[in-house]
Amino acid sequence: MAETNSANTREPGEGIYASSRLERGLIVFTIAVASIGLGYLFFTQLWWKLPPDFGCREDFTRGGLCIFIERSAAEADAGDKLLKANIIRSRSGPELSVPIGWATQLNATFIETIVQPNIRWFGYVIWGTEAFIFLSMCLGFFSRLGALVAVGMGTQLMIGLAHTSEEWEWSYILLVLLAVAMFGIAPGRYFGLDRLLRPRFKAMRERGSLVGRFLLLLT
Amino acid sequence: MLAPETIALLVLLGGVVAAVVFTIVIVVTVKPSNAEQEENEREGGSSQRT
Repeated sequence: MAETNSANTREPGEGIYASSRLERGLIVFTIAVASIGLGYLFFTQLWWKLPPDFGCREDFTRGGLCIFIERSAAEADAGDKLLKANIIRSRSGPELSVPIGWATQLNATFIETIVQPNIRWFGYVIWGTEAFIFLSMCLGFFSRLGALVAVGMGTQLMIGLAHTSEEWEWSYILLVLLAVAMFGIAPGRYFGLDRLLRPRFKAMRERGSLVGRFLLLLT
Repeated sequence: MLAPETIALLVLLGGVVAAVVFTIVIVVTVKPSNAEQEENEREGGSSQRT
């Protein structure tokens, strides 16, 4: 009752924040688990596509990163669908779905014209991006930026691979959804280095610094 | 010549060190805003609205 009364006297905007130390701890713990989990996911994917060959063989045409790039381009089709729900089992094909053929074909064009011809250096971009997501999510360092990069990376993977054979589309969709949640939450504000950085960036912004304003957006 | 795995681990370790050093430099050189300090004191240093 006492807690209810104290909650009533708070500002309206405070309703979404933790009302007790225990609840606050639970929120911080769960956000840290989700963020570190997302970072660890990208950490595990660094090792099968190590530079300088990114796991590729035969002059960057087979194996490793090259095989996934090849698959996402080769299996792109105008009829590709995502978020499929097969409600009536006797009918073939899903009743509900989102057509993504235009996106998979656009992705295939991007891969064939930019990624594949430049895989010798573009592989470093892919590996470095995933390494950055790992560091950002696990250290809570520029975590809003890290989550945004994870959204982009996850979306590209989802468009390229979720519809292909031998893949469960929801593994990619869940990856994107987790990254979206982390983007909104900005987990570093709860457990990471961003907790130390943000008050300083705010001070810089208050002094009129554009750099401080910009850095604040990324944490 | 180092193995690719070793180089990758060193790169990741370098990233961790760079992030920590960057944070330390900012913490040491920039004083936090007054409003932020007051909020932290009010909430016992556990503010989530930073």
